[in-house]
Amino acid sequence: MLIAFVLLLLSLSFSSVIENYIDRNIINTTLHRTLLSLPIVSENIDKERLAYKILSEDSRVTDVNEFVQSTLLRVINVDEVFGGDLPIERVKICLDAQAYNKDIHKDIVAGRGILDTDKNVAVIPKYFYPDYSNEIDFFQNGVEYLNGENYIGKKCTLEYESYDFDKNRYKVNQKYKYTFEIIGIYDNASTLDSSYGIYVPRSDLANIWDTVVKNSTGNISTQVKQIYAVVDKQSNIDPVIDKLKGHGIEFERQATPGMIQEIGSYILLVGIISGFFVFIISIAFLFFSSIDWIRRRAGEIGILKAMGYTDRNIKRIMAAEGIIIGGLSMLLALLVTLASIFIINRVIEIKASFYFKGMRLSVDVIWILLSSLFSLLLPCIVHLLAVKRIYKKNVAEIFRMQK
Amino acid sequence: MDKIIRTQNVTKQYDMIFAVKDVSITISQNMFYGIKGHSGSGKTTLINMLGLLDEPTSGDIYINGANVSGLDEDEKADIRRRQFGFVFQAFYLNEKLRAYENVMVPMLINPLYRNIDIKAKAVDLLNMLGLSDRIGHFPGQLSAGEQQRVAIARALANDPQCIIADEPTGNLDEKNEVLILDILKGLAQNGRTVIVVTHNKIIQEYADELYLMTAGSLETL
Repeated sequence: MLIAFVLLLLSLSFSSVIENYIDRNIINTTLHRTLLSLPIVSENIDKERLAYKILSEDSRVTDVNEFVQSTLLRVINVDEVFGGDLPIERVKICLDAQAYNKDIHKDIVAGRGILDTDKNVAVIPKYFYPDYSNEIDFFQNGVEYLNGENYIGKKCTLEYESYDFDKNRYKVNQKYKYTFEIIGIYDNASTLDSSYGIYVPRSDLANIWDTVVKNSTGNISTQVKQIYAVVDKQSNIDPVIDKLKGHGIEFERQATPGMIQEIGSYILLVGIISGFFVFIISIAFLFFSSIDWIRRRAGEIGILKAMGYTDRNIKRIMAAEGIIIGGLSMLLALLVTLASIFIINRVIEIKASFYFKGMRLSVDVIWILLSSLFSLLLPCIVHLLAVKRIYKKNVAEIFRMQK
Repeated sequence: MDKIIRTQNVTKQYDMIFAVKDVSITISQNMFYGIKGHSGSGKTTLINMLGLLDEPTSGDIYINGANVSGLDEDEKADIRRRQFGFVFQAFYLNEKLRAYENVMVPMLINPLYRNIDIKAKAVDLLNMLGLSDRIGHFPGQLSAGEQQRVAIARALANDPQCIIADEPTGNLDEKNEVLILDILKGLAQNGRTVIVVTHNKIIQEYADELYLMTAGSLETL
């Protein structure tokens, strides 16, 4: 019973936390709420206009604009920005520049976000590490992240290049610089952005791409034009896509969470089913053990009846005993559950990377109340069911049950 | 002498076997009754029926002149509480309760005791049975003889007319055997009726009336 109670609460807590985490930190990140149009060519300019109109007027769409591809660029004034003591190979000190969108506003934790009129500014991650080989890990990976806030006001220069694609091996035509001032910090733990992902004004990033395309030579593929739109929540994505489809406009998700979304629901389902099964098994165990319980206690019940206790008196005693046992096991189970959660949370606190610190477990009060009610009533009911076996039996028969 | 229990052609049958066959017996006040017999002779079944712990297959049982055959379990429980105290070979003390608490158990449901200090009464009974230094002990801390004395104190708790003892000395050594029978004899001499079932020969030294149970039939010795 105690184990069932603890398992139920823990599995519910686990599954709901993981489900919530996946929902909040993965499925509902800006990336997974972004729609992209099919490449726009000259013959569907009218559709482009219509798409802008529909999306701009839709309250579920938080941002709509021309899509600009992100790009990984090398930092060239490393010593000036980082003081020259970064334990990273110079060639790996890169930043992934992305176009700022209004959705990132809510994740700005220091400084300010980027305005439409801003130029040569950027917001950088709170947990900052300009090494493009650093990945998002569940456990801490030994990287000592830099505090993004310490870099507000600093100017960083990135280098980008145009190429000659004529030869089998492309070569650099020309090098360019892009300098920006760090004006704000966003929380990459909640956006699930890499530690080297920065946001710059859309027009700046578009200019970078224009410069690269215009100054590259040879067999260079033409930049395609696409519209992007950010939808307020995951559940509104399909309705917005369907609405556009109704006007003959094709939009797709920029990224799909794939299996992760199903995993979240799967974990919750498994948690509830396994907790439920453990609970059912424990009820069955309690019920069947009540047969042994009644045999063991037949003498005690028999002597009570011999003394003049009626079946009702005995039922009251057993119910009270059940409530006391249930109450104590409930308290113990709650203590064990809370202690387990405390330990698990400590492990998460110490071992998990900053991305997954949000997976700290908590127990829903409703579940505590429901489980407590069950664990309080269950022994009581089982005791009463067991007592029912001796109901209306005379004392001699009860004594014989013991043999 | 008042007749407390009277049976008329009482029979208890299990399938084709007669545990008690056609027994008629009268139990009177202030008497010590001994019922002897081998194991399986039906003596326990008989006293279970006398104490309303078991139901006869046929025949009638009268308690203080009233036929109890048609009574339900709750009504019989009420009679047991008022009229009888039981002592068993296996003591049946609650291991989780102290000696005085075990003695208090029958008193908890006695409406006559609502306004009296039942703990004090339990302690008095234990003192009377020579257990003044064992009052707060748990059964596991007591010898077999002491446990049986606690069981006797418990049987006396509701001040019953009749004490029914089924092999009360079965788990005891010779010294305690004598002690327990002396106590039971003393109770009979002080106004109670005592019925003791045993296969111990020593009973004949105590019993005012002695019976022998053989294959379900009762005969006077």
